[in-house]
Amino acid sequence: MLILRMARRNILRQKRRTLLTALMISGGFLLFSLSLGISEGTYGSIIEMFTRMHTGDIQIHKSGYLQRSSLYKTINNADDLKIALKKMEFIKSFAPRVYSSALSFAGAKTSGAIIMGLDPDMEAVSTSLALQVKTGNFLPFEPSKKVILGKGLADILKVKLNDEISLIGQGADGSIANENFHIIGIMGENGSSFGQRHCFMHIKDAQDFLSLGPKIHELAIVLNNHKGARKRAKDIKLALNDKSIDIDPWQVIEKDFYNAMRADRKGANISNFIIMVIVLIGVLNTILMSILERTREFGVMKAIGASPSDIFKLIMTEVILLGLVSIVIGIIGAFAINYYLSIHGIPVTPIAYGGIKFTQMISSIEAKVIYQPTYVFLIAIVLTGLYPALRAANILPIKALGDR
Amino acid sequence: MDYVIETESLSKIYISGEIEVNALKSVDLKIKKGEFIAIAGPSGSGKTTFLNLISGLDSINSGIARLAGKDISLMTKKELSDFRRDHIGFIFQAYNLIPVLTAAENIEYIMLLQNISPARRRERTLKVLQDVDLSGKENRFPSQLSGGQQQRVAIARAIVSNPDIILADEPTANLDSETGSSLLDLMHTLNRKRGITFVFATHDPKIMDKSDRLIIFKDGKVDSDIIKNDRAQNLKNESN
Ligand SMILES: Nc1ncnc2c1ncn2[C@@H]1O[C@H](COP(=O)(O)OP(=O)(O)O)[C@@H](O)[C@H]1O
Ligand SMILES: [Mg+2]
Repeated sequence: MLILRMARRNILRQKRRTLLTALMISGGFLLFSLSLGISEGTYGSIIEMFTRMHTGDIQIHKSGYLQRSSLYKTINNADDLKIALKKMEFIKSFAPRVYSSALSFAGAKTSGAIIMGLDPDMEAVSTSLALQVKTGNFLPFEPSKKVILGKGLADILKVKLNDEISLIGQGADGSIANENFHIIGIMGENGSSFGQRHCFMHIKDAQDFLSLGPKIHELAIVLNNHKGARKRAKDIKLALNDKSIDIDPWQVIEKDFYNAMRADRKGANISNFIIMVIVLIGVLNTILMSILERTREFGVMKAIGASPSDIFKLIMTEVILLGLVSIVIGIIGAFAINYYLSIHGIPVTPIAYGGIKFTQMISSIEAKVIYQPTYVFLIAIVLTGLYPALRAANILPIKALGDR
Repeated sequence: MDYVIETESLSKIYISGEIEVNALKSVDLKIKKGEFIAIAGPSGSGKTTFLNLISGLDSINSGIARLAGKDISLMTKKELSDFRRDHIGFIFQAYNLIPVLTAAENIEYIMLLQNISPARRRERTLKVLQDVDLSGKENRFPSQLSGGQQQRVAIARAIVSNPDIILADEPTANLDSETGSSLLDLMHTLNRKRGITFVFATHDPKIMDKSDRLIIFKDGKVDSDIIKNDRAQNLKNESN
């Protein structure tokens, strides 16, 4: 306790210098925590949006489908897979899909379209796609030759609710697919929302139209816990042990986004590191100065029997005490600001990505945002203290006592 | 045996740049338990150097210094600091105390280094503050004490761990004559009543007067070693 008291009083000896150093540490901590919080919060919300809206956390395809999609790269044992997936307790739900491109006609208008066949029932429990229908209704549970058009496609074809469109495509058996569909909904709004050029229909209708039988192109899986998609993808792969299919987490499905996010985080890490170095130089300077000023004192302490390790412990106690107090201040500040920004966000020029428009950077107050800077700063401050502490510990008493 | 301090041909050469200073030249001295010794001599004659060498604060070039029978040149850094902690008390000319610790805490600190329990530390601190006539001042910081009071705290700290010897380098040099006298009386009493060994390096005639044995250093050598009274003579005879 005496050592702690001694350390505390030593820290408070130069109040202004201590205050400045503490502010530097807590300021650095705050910046570190904020950059983590905003990165987690903003990317987290984007990831959440696209995984919940349409991709799911993990997808299964015929191997190679993601690299180059094709009508013929189908999953042929979909029913077996579904049974196996149902048994995995970490999976919340999954949704089967088929895709193909087709030509669409309405009156004198023509446009290319992406057919997406889905199971309305399973899609509803897996994604929020149904909520994106802004006009009309989502697909009925039974196949009925009804479609929902993306807003972009509907505009090109100049069609509205209850109009008819014709689709022409290629069947998997080589036949020409040609059929009329009834429009019951328009998906999304003007601009960049998901599925602008899509034509959504019941998976059975799509399989009939494309002569696919029971084959599908994609199984989108939603996990109970959204974190750890990569690990779960591996678990599923191991459990299914099927070389003919690929099982990919969203990090692979949305590879471009994921890589951009990683690059951005690396940049943030570098700037955090620079902030850290600046803070630590300040801390080092403060400690060295305070030790230099106390040279004579260490001489007396050593003369009366303090060992190098006694002095070392004293300095380290001072350093850790200063660090802890500053970090606690940093934590309080970081918590407050991150919390505020998790609710209010910082408006930015709208950026569209993958059908999601994002207009503000928001923060997140998950544990990582606090504990990561805490341990990084603690370790760094302790390491910074080592050199001055060792120096003080090894002061020769005779040198320190000199000029008396 | 029974010598607290025993040196044989103790020598120290300081080299600063081109210049070599023979600060101590082959000093042979034996100091017995209970002695009250003044080492005097002109400035630069090696008094401080002698104290530094026999306490292991500075390294020995040649010769031997034994403290309580132990050759200090054979000790490691850690052994030396433990040895100082347990066997030697120090009183310097000034700035003896740790400024962030109160009078009581300054005394406690040395016992903390010795791993003595807080309760015992407290008890012994209050007792020793009484011995140096500073009761009631235990919670003052050094800056709130006069020079004489600070030196009393230094004395209390020096005696609290019952060392074999107290080394005092010009302890009265920064004090006015009256304060110096009362401080000297205090140390003299401690020597007489408790048998604590004192070795002073000093210019102060009062200390030389009061000492039982006066050793004069000159140019790093013992110039004279005078037994001044019966007490010292008796101590000397006992050891022969
Ligand atoms: N650290 C040192 N470096 C160089 N010379 C020193 C050092 N310490 C003492 N000396 C020299 O050694 C001699 C003895 O000094 P010192 O023991 O301090 O004398 P005193 O205490 O009797 O005044 C002096 O000439 C002094 O200049
Ligand atoms: Mg001197």
